[in-house]
Amino acid sequence: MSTVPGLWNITRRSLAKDLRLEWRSKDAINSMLFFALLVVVIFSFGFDPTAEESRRIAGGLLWVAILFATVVALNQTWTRELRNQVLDAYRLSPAPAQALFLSKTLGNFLFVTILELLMVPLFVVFYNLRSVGPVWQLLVVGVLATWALVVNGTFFAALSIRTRSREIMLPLILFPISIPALLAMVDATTAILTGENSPFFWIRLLAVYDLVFTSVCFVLFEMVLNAE
Amino acid sequence: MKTLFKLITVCTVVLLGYGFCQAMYIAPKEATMGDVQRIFYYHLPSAWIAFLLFFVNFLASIWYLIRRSKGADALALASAEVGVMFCTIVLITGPLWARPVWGIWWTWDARLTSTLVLWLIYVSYLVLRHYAVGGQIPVLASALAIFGFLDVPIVYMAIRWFRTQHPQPVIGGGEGSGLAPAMWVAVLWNLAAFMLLAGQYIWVRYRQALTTYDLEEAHAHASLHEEPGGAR
Amino acid sequence: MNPSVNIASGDKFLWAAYIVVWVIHACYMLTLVNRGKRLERERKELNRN
Repeated sequence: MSTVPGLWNITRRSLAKDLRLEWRSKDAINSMLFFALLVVVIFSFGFDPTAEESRRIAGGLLWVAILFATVVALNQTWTRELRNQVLDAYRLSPAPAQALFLSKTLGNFLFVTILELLMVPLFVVFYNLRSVGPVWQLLVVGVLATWALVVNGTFFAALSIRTRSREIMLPLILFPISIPALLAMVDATTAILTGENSPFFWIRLLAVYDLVFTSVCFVLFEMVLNAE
Repeated sequence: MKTLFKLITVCTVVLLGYGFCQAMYIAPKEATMGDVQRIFYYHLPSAWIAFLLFFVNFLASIWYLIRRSKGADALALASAEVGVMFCTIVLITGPLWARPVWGIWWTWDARLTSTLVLWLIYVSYLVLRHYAVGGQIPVLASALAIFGFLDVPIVYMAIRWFRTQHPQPVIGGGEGSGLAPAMWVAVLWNLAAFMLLAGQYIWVRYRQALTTYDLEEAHAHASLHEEPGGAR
Repeated sequence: MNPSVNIASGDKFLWAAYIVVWVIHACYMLTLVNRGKRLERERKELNRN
């Protein structure tokens, strides 16, 4: 099988191509960033808490805001491929479907991370947040949580391609399944911010969630890609 | 086949009637809760049937992905629909029972939340099936069904832990509360009655799904033949 | 043991629950019947062609 490029090679090149295209057009990034900013501002109008309260609710607000921004980002995951019949070409090539999925997921992961890097400081500013617990734990939660949203989101974005009302279909099928991950990311963040509880169960739950659903996505993606 | 179905319908009606008598009159009145507790005799069997049907959907979806059998997909659709129906009943009768007895409509405990999430997942499954276009709906739906079903134990564990950290009164008497034997009798009669009814629903819906497939195929064939210069 | 003799406020909920259950079942049976009729009609249409 030496003629078939390895999984990681294809993933890398696919991802590089996506990043180059995004960088050239900057369309999606700019509108997404502005949308993320708007979401944070609007949420901040809705709540005007004291410092004590803000630590308790910021976790929930932040992750809901990120969730909405993520959905907007996810919706365009596959549109470029659809426009140019890239998917057909991919189906015909001997490249493993998982490589395409992995490159898309990593692209989305990077994208959402950029959004978070914008939104989190804004949240800190608007809510005058100071974390009681250590910040490195928040980073761990951030990575696991973002992966949880993005891995299922990329898969379900592929599922919703062949539906009417595509844009609403994605959050509709993504949200119910993401509920345990959302609970975990919100509670872990709140636990770290307030320092009142241990976040470790939630972190473990996120890790289990990520493992289970990444595996399921990998196993099932080829079938979904070939569905026509 | 039709007479068999009619016969079974008669049995179902009789069982449902007897189950109703059991629930409303024969089962003893609960000591602390009073007659309102009788909602339980419809609530619990509906919950068990809903969970069973969602499990059937899970198996049928896997079977479809492996064998691509139309029957498996028809069964997946039927079990999801009937399951959602019974789950809706659980989610409505639960609060109606909880409110007069425990004073609250709802609480985010492990069982209730898992049931709600289950309902959300399978409603989203039905929505996907309804809005998807093209011949590969069963593949997409089966994928979603697998995700959904694997999610539920995770939800349950998550809320369990959440509740050990933020305890609240448990609706429904907690994990270990027992039922008087006479009450179990009422539960089982209603369970049998509703299972039979569910079976009939599934049978009808399954047949209808298969017929829909056949009609779609026939339509496709017909339009091929109508084409001027037709398909050679 | 007749619950309708005992009109405590709790029983409102009891009857509401039972009525809701049967209304939902009735609605579902209605969708089955309607779909059955529609499929029958479509099959006859097809056979006529």
